[in-house]
Amino acid sequence: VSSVDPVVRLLADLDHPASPRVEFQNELLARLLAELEETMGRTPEAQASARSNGWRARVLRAVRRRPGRTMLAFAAVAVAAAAALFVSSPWKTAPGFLEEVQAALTPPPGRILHVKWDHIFTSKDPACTSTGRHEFWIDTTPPHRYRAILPLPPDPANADPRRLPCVRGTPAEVGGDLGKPNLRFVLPNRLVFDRPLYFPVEQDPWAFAREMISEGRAHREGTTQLDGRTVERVRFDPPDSCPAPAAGHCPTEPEYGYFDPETLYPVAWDYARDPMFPLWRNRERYLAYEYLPRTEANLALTDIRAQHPEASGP
Amino acid sequence: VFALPLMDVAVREVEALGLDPARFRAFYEDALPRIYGYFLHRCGGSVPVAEDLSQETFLASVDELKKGRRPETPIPWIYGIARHKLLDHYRKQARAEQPLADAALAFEASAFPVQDDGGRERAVAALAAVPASQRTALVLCYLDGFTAAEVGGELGKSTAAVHSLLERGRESFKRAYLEVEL
Repeated sequence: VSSVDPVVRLLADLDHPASPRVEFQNELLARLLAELEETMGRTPEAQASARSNGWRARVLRAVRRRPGRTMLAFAAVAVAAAAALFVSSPWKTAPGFLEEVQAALTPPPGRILHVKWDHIFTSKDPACTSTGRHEFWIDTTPPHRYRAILPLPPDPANADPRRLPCVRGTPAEVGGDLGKPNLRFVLPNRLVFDRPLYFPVEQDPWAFAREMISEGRAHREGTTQLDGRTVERVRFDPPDSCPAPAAGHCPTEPEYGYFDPETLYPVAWDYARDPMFPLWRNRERYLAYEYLPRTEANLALTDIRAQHPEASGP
Repeated sequence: VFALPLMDVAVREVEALGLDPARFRAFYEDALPRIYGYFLHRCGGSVPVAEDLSQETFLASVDELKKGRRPETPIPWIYGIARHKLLDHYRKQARAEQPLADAALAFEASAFPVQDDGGRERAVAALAAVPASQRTALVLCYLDGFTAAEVGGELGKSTAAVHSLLERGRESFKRAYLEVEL
């Protein structure tokens, strides 16, 4: 049978991901996780409690992303809470620089966060440097519609992981509602369901930095020059210990944030981050950072369908 | 801040899937749309059937993990589980000798997510209307990419019998494609 047989062509065109109902997704995931965690020796009751409790769910999510930081955060918050009984914080009456940074890194409600940055990877082994341009717009109002333009990494099934920092990736435009399968625009004019993003597009991406400031792990180091402009440099210290490498990412050395002295918006971020690949270095150089009003035109920036109204697809 | 698209990929891929809930969740979020779509398009666009089979597939995957299985390539692995679930489903349909009209009723046009192309909806409905044994051969050969000999091995039939099923399946599909009403 020739591949141009219309039956074969029609059938081959059926092989696409599809988006199930959100209730189905969540219920099945809860059941599967409960089974897994029961096997790991945890009680289903504890899991059910965690799932039903909003702040606990958020904490679990934070642990998944940054277990080292978050574990330390628990301890630090507990200690801070105890200390607060006896000592008043000096910035309670006079907001300090770091508290103002926290405020600048807090997306105001009812806005659209727009960030554009170059992600510069430097690897010593193999020796290479690559730069990837990223940009996203995300609505801070649920369901947190977003659109991102980024270099997608190669299919990991066919890639050598240790050479990943040396590849530039393929430019792609993706979008959708946070937590749901995302769409990708493909030429000539089509939208398709895509694999999940491998960087966390979030409506509040700097929550971890605010958390580190609250924990007392951030230290103002004064002004410095970065690419010809004066910036404020802040050192963010790692936690005292990290869980096992397989448990997730955990910084093992200081990270540095650079902030605009006027707006306190981020200008750059330097970090190493991953214990499995200690020779990799990262710099994120922010080209745009702004909170846009929710006008019709700006909302369209978050909407991949609005950007491609004639595109075919789901 | 926007941690590591490349590193994340690397870490995810060099670790085998295990009992860790965070890793399983990431795997689930990646795999569910694929597996759900796999069933939806092969089962007449029926949301209940696609949900049931997706659930069975993921529960079976968790059972395997609980038994100590640690797949290094989780996506192909769960597709394998899904394929077996689909074949079981087709076998049950074949035993029930589901008539063409009944199978066509399983199509739920309103729930089908692909709306850009009426041809695709029609194809999904037509595939559901093909008798189950022929549909099995069509799906395994033309969607899943197996050879007739491999399909024969899976179904316990000769290669010639699979070719015969394919021939009749294509005719059934064409007829149903032209007759189906959306």
